[in-house]
Amino acid sequence: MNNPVMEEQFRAGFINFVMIRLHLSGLAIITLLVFLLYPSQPISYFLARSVKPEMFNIALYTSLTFLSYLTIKAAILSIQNTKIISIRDWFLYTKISVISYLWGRISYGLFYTTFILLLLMPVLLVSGSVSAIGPLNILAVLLFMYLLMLNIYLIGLLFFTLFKKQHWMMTLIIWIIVILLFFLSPNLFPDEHPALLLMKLQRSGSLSEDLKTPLITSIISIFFLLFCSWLSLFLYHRRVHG
Amino acid sequence: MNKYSCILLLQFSLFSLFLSAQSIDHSFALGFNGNYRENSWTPLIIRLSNHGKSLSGQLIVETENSSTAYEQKRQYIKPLDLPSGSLKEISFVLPLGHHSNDIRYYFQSEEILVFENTISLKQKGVKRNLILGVSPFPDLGYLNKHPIVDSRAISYPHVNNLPENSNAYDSVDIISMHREMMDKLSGSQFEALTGWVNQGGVFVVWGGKSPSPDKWNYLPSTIKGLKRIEIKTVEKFGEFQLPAGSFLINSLETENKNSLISYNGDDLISRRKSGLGTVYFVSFDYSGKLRNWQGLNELWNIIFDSEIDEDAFTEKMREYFLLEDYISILDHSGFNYQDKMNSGLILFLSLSAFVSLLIFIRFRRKSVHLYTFIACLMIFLLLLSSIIYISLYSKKFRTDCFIVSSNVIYSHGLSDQSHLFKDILVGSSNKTSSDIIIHDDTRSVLKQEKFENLIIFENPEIHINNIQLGQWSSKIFRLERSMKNILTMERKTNYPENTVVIQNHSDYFIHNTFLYKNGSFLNLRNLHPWDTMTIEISDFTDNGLYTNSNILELSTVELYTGLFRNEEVLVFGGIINEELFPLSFSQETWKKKTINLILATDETEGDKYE
Repeated sequence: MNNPVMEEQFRAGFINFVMIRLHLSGLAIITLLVFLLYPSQPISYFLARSVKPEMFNIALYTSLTFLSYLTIKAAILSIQNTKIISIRDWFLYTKISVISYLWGRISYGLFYTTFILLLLMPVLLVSGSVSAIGPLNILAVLLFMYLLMLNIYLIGLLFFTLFKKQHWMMTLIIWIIVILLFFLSPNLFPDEHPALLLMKLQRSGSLSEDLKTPLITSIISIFFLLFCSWLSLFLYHRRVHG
Repeated sequence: MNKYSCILLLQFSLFSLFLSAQSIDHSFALGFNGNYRENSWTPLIIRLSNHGKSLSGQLIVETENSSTAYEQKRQYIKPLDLPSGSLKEISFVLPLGHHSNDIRYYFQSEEILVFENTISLKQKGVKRNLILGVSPFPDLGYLNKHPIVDSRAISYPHVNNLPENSNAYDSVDIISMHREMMDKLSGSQFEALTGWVNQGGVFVVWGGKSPSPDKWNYLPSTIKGLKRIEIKTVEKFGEFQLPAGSFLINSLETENKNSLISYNGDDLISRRKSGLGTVYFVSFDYSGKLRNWQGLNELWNIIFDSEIDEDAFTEKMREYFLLEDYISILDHSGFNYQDKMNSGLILFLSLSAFVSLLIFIRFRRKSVHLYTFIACLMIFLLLLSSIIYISLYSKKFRTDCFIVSSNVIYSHGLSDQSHLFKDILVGSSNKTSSDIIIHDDTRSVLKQEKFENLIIFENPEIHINNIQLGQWSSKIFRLERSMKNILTMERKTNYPENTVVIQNHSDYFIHNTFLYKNGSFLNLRNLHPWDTMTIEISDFTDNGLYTNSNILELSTVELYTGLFRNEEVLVFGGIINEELFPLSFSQETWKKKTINLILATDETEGDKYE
């Protein structure tokens, strides 16, 4: 753990008791939901109507909301009971470069996104198995979900580098963007809408074809967001050092 | 001869060898002279002649439907040996729908494609049944003006292209054939034709000169030879009018009951019932003067009248079958989720393991191994999730592939034959592929289907190979075959007015029998094998039926009797425990439930019982 930014993030955000409580309560709520919504009808009920139990979709979207909340929280460093070093202090009092600061934030983002996704994975996989989603399909859904979370984290990070500190306006803007992009009516993005893509991937027979475009789009958007964050930090770094 | 000319000669000989190896001529005959009815079984004859070396392989016919919801692809495979110089004729019977794309057939020898061809289906399909004229005489062109023919297409297939399987006549109402052509029919073609007549076809045979003793027996009259009759003036007899002139006719000897029209003691037209169908023999053919003869209208009216009207139940069963119709059966099939508690337990265990690990990490936060602990926790989570998923997804943990099958034997009155309709519903919530093998006689017909990748091996049993089920999907297979009548229901004249006599002609014990009319049931006793039951019909108010039946039986009975809901017919029915149409699945994990229902209706109008 060479990067001081990552280490600070780790100690502040991850081992914080409030955060653990948050993780656990989220997990408990989704688990309870899955257990309560476990299908009681005979299998033939669904087969005859050519519908599958919607358990996986319910678990998926609840998890998505919860994970978005947590990633945005992590990206904008709004961690309760913790004093966080501001970007200005990092640049002014340590000799950290823009790249290592960004690397610290991103590596934590990667780690944290993986962690919370793994946290909810047992619940997601149980509901996925009840909804009879094949192993490859479920892996594709999880991969796409991971990229989504990473994008959300980077959006949060970009706005944090623009605002430099926590502000309610920033949180509001990020949430509006996330809702617009991922949760609002699919009419806005009829072909590339993430919610529709997540449903499509669940039943897709040709995953390589269906995953190709969303994968490329998310990777391009990840690099774009990274570049924007770097540019914003670079300009700030120059301003701080006169 | 120098080196180069040797090489050239060698190349030339190799090339000619290659050409001779590939020399298989092939031609096909689809439907009846290229015509077929949409959504019915259609004959396809492929003729192969091999001029090259001997080959053995498989002849494969592929049909593909591009309907809106499903992409259906079927393969019909026949193993074939083609010795050098041989000429072979291979016949198939294919269901062609209105969505069918062009048919492709190819011959494959040791996985090498020897030849392939495509049959274009451009606008050959018609909506209504066909009338076949299997000879240039009599000329059926006259029939185009007949009011009853309407939009029915008349087709003129060559006698060699007639099918060898009675199912292929699925779309044919009437076959009109000159006797000379009838003599040319091969044994199997003739058998197929008579099989079709027994199932309700109308077969009209005209004139002819040549003798052919083996097939005379089938006609309603015995042919004694040829005879010339003179009709001097236009004469009337019955509804017919013969034109004046001299006509060559077959001299017939006919039983009284078979004779339809006779003139001066000579039988002109005779008729005989054969099974459910009718065979006509007309001693003259209408060429020459008879071509525009007015009396033909009347003759064809009689022929059209003898077409059997399918009763409402059989007709409804022949329609496309929807899964929605089976929802009540599926809902009561009793295949449930049983792993709710197991999943809950797994979730609870994983949650508590996670919590304890997390708390452990929190207390060890000062440790240098903190990151190792977190990494371990993540790996643990990953493994746990995978194990849960794999264990839940595997078939041992939750077998949710099932089959519900219903066998309905239906007899219409005192008819010689019953119909067995077998519906097989296969469903799975996982992706599965399996086979269905039905050990039964080869005349079983797969009637309607909704599936892809079907391979049917017709001999010696029906083998529906490789049923691919996607996630959360189900499929219906409908099989139909004729069998000997096992139950009769009739009203005897010497009995009181409101009495029906039901006789079980089978070895099956029929329990939970009922009488059904207009949505009401009358509960009856059990019917033993070869037992006769005489019932005086009282009022149909008793709905408290099937006290010993399960819900699956009940809903099956309701589904099928529901087809009689708007009709004033009296239905007798019951449930049989025996397997009528033994069925085996290659995958033993599939759960199976079967219902055998027997139904019979009376030919007499229902109103008479009131």
